[in-house]
Amino acid sequence: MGAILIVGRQDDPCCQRVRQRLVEQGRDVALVPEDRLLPGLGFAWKPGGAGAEGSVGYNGRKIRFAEIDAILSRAWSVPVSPQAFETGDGRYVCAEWNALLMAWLHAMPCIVVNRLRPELWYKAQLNPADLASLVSPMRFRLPRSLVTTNLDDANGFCRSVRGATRYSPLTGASRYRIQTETDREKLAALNGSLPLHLTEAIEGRAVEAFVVPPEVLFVDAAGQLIAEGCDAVAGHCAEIANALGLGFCRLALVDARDGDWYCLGVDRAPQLYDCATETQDRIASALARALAPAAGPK
Amino acid sequence: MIAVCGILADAMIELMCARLSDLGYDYFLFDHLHYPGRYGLTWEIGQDGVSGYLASPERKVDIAELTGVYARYVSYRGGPEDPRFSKLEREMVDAEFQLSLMQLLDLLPCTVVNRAKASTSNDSKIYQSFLAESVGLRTPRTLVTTDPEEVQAFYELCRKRVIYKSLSSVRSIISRLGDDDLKTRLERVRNCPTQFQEIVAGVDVRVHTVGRQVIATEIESDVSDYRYAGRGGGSLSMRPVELPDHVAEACVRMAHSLGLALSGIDLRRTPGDEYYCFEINPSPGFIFYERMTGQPISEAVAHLLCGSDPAATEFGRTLGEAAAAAAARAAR
Repeated sequence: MGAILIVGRQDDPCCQRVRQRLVEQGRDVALVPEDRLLPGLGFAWKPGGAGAEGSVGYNGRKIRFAEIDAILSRAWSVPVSPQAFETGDGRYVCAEWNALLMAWLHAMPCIVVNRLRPELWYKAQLNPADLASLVSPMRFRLPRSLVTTNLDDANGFCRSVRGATRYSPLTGASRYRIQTETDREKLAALNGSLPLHLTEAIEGRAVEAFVVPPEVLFVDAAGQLIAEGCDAVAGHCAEIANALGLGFCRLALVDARDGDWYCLGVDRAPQLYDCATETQDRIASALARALAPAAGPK
Repeated sequence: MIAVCGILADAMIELMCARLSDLGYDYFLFDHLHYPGRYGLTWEIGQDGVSGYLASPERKVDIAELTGVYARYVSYRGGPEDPRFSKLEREMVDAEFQLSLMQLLDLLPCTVVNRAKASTSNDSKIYQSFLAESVGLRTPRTLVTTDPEEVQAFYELCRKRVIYKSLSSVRSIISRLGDDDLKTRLERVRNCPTQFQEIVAGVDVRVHTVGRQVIATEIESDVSDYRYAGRGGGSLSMRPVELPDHVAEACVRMAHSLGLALSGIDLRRTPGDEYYCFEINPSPGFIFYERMTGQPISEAVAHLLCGSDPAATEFGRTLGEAAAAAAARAAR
């Protein structure tokens, strides 16, 4: 058996729990801490051919690529401090590390979670427009979405949807409900400073689906596992992950009151902070099985 | 209707507007310098796809009327800084407005030169080298490392004929590694992964793919990086050249696999007539080559944008989308 590499942050519960699971299974696990990467990283790679000639090392340990069975990448491509990120040199290092990491994960012949396609390198959160652009066919319904620089169009959109709408920045995952006159006044204040990105608010039961294909774990708003009522859409969730080439992702779903299921977005680097302990354990176990398929029960 | 998105101070935008006018194609300039402000947009995504419009003070264009879009993301905003925002806030605001347009271009069913989602691979030259190999093009012997000893060994292995350059799209002047570098600067490699490549002797060839069309230019220069020949008083000459069919086809396949309707591919032809690939540029500044050789690159792009070639729109899509479109055409 070879080694399993985790590229991520030491304080990430996902890294911690997956590492723990794999160690319990007797696997050799090495963490490459992205937050303390340079100058400690020892990396040498001669691409070409099988794409796997080289070695990676940290803390005095050196692992040849051929000895790596699987990689869990939880990296954010920012191997410098927040202060350094504000400098030209810091940003250059980030760009170079990202260029290296994306290519290396693409080239490694072992299991890699997640091996990102270029379209997803800079998109951790996919909104409905991204999904319309990248996933076909999409078996979930997508909420109507509007992007505008015209306040009249924004108000018209709000009037045309049945219930409330949500404003969210295009570059982030935060959402703000627009329902009352006060909400609309706040929205109007943004006009001219930001594009207005509005999405139809879908009323119903909010469900999060953590997908480690073929496994799908459904979680409620409190972070607890949902035992029943979602099986019918498990296949759709796995299809989306496969269409995006993702070995681990989280889907934000709504089981709507009209009986339809909606997908509000996909997170290709899900955090486990909001999950209950049992949920975290189950997700970590699924990831451990994906990384070391022979070691755990299917 | 064709849309041109960018700023007029960008010579490529100016050239494309002039070429479209020259050919009598109706176009709409969406001027980033005045977006937001005099220019605006509205688009909606629903179960039936995308709908909406682009607007200027004089005109409103329904996006359903667009046959093609030429977009340049470089030097995105410029112009005076908005005093209401801090530097960090300005970056966020710029990113929001940039994404409001990029997401639309990713969704449009017409030809887009080029979609943002098709352009990202440019940020990893090493990723692109795998792509080049997958279509049958050679790539130079390469080392990527943070280890000074590995650099030393590679330098000796390549008989001291090595250059170094950035891995990402951050522009760096390609430099030759020398004995002095090994003595004085080698330790710096521990702070940032760096790409080293064996020098491939030969003549540079810039290939522009426009849809299925291939326009190749041979460049002769006496400096390592011909783009900067003028700075150091180096020589530079260019001439149109025909590529062997298998090389031309490989270039089209590489652009197609990325969903690029237009690409600039850097090759080098060795004395033994082998072609090595260095990178593929999704937003090529072809004015440099067109001016020196008179090759009709902007004209080819203009024809592509007017939608005269139905198959051409496939180059603006991802492979999956193109396959779905081909299947739909076959079914009809």
